[in-house]
Amino acid sequence: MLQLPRHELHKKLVGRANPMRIQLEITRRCNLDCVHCIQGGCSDIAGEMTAADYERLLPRMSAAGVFSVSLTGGEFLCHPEIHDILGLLLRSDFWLALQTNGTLLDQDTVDFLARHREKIRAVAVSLYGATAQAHESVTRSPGSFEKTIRAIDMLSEAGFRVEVISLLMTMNQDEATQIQELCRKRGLFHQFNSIIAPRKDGEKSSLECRLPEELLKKLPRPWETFSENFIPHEPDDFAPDKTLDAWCTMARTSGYIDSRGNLLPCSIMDLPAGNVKERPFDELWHDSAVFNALRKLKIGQFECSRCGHFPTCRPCPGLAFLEHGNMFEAPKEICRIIELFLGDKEVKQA
Amino acid sequence: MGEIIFKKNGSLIERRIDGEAILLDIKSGVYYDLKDVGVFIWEILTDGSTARKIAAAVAENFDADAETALADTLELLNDLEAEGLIVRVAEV
Repeated sequence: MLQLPRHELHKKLVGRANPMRIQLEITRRCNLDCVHCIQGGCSDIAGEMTAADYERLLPRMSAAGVFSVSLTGGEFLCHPEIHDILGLLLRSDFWLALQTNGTLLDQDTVDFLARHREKIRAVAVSLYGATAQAHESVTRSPGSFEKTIRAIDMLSEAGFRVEVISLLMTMNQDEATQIQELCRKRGLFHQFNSIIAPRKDGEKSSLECRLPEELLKKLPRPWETFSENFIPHEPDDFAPDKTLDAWCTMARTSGYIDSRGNLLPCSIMDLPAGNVKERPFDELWHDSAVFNALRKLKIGQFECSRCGHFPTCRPCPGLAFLEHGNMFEAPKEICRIIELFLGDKEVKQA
Repeated sequence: MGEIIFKKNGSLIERRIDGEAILLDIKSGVYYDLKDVGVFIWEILTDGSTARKIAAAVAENFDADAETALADTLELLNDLEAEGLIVRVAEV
């Protein structure tokens, strides 16, 4: 049997700490002003990676075994050298995914991407409402709805798999059904989320936008919504003495390179292994004291391991890091949501 | 009967990880895993390869008799072709 199911590949690679998927935060610049954005300001571009930096980085990622690369931001299309960077990525041997607000996509760019469509697994587009009023109550950018819808339609017509991602919060709380209908009519893949995290700079005003319990209950059960991303596991994989191999892919098979070149375990955990402009990616990945320490953590060190809802809730250590400044406490927003569906937590005896 | 010339599917991403060849077919999203002699065959499976040429190299490098090497090579090529990882380009 030559085929290797994705979870089997994950198991094979996780024990070797072999990178499989890397997210590239191309820039923190953005042309929108979304109320929930965790980046904490879009104007800070000091030390931003250049096309020349990516030219050096991408072959090292390929040699290290990375298969998939996701482009994110900010809005990645705001990078002044984005066409050079896209050209480098499309000439490399990666399977790409793009995450965008769509507003800067024009027909020429879509046509350029379409010439390499086979290499682009999907384009994820953020959509917060089925009307301009609802969508722009989140983006705070007049005209953004029309541009995003136009981008979705251009991408669909060009044959891309378009995945619409909708974060629901107080100002667009009534949009779920209408967004679903908009996507159904266009034959688009669609996913809701309701997790609003503190900003990376610690600012927490966006948390006021979190949905109240009575509205959260109307959404799909979160662990089922995201079930296709889960890795099949055995119950024993979550025993207290086990590492996090079956729980979280950070620093094991996935990682994040921010717009300045810092290699991080994931998009929201600011624990740099080092900078890829100063040291080759593969050396950082394998030799970093930070990453090696993360790989040795045991499930029993985490508060969540003593909760009756674990591991069904799939708590995110990164979200805990943003909420508390450390990853070992429970991410309270996930607890709040999961308890709506599964009831109060039952604490296990240590 | 002539010999078939194969070439690799052009939509594959290949990585070498601890001596194994991991392949990702980006058209289907399916991963594949080749080990040992499979990796060797995959590496010499360049345009213009025939089963006999490959089997001769296998016999030489793995200390196998020609008949066994040819049978093993044909079996792997059949599997690779069935999965769409190689395609026939000509018969000589």
